[in-house]
Amino acid sequence: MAHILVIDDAATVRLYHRKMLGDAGWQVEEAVNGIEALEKVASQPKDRPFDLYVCDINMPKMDGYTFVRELRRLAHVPQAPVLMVSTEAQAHDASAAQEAGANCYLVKPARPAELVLAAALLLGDTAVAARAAAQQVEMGVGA
Amino acid sequence: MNSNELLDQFVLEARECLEQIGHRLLDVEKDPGNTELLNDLFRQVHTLKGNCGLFDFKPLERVVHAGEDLLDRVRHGDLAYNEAIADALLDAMDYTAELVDAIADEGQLEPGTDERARKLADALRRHLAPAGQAQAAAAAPAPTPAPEQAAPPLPKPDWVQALLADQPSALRRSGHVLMRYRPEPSCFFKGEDPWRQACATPGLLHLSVAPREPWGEPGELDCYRCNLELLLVSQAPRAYVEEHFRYVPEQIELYELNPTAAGIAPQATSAPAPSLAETEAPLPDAARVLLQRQLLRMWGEQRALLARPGLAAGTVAAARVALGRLLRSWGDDAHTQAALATLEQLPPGAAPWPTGRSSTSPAPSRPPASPATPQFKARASTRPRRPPAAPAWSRRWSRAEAVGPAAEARAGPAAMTAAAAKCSRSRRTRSTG
Repeated sequence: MAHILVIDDAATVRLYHRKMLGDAGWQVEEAVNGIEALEKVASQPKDRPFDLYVCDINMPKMDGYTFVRELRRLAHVPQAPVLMVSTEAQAHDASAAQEAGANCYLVKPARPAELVLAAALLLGDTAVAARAAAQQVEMGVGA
Repeated sequence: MNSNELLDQFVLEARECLEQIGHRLLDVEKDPGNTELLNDLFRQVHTLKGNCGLFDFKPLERVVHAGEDLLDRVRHGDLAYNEAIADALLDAMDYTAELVDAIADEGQLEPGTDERARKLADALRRHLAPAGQAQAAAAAPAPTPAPEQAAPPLPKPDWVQALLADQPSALRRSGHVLMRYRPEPSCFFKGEDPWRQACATPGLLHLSVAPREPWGEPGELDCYRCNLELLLVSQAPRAYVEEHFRYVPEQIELYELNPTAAGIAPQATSAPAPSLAETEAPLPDAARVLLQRQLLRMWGEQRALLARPGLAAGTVAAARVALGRLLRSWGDDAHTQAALATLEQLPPGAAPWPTGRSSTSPAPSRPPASPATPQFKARASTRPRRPPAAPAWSRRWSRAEAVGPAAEARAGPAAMTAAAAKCSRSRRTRSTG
């Protein structure tokens, strides 16, 4: 089962992401800011690393950009894709996320099927990706 | 877990945020130059707005979003915090608390709540106007909301009719949303990218762009001024389109196509609407197209990521992981398998082959003679390699995308090998630099 770390200071958003990603069949853990996320990354058993990070940008103590930069400097942990999810919808926000080392960028609030589709593709979970795409089409939403 | 749990969590956190916002507003009033306080205040409002967006509480989001925009300008020093701003924020937050209470009691908001929300949001946004306009607005009594603010914008027959006349009947269907998007001239200075925004419109069927005004003489052309007018047709619900453009509501005009409505363009009424069965593409194909599109977009993002200078080792490793997983989702034909094998064989660190000397460099793999079409494992056995009659909108979309990074990714495994080589080059540069 894929293992995802959701990083967001808003408890409501964490719960929302946990529900969407958990319903897709993945194991979800949470962190409230970048520092807590790095601690979780460091304390993960070697045989159970995170397969994907779903990360907010604007957080107290350590924001999403800093978290990703720090994560990418870690030599002793397996690297995994970062999906940035933020309410910042400007092109320069996506560019800054990429510059920090994030792999993809979604504007919050991401609709459930949109979030799950992006996560599924970054996890290589084709069955969930197909289901999420079908669901998105049912709702009349293009990519 | 159910939606009630999410709603309870929302109410709980909204009240916490509002309490913090109340304290911080008082703190900031005493010490308006304190950036730390302003940032904290902004973050609380930002969190509240983000949470509102998870639900369909438009009046709430409208007020809080306006407050966030205003505070963003204040904390960046573009606006001086003053009593009028403080009053507008306090009024807005008082009403926000009322709305949260209503949500806690009823689980929803009454339709009538939006009128006051619009007034409060307008009061906040008046402070965002340029100095002269803001002073004039402050001196004048609160204006009656313009028609565009009080109700969804009325269709402009000229652009609606022109757009409809230009479209095949397939696009002139009941429920389709027509949109005119006129980005403000200074949008580039705000970091906005109207073309990218338009390309990402949910359910996009058609996108065309034209100059808003004549370009004028070459010597007088201001290349930093946006002079574009974009016309779109979307099959997504109107609410989704509105949400997508929620940060530029004043720059868009929407018209929902309904052949029975008064005022519809003659071209639309003369063409009978096809039956529902005709309007809907077979679900698997539509889903597959969407899946391909999303995958290509993400593929392009990895390529763009790897093209950045000075990559950290971890970023290269993560991009390789992402490329591998995207490839697995792409399909299982021979070319893809070969590309995947090449990617997986790249050693983590040292470059496996020297770059820039093609005569002595072993090629990572022979690219296919023609780009492979993405094949999803779930569909591969039952679907043709390419939809026999790709809908016109998807071809248009492809053309629109052809200018973006996804155009490179369209080459599939061939591009993968190039990306893999880039991985190696990046590693090599880092390890030798």
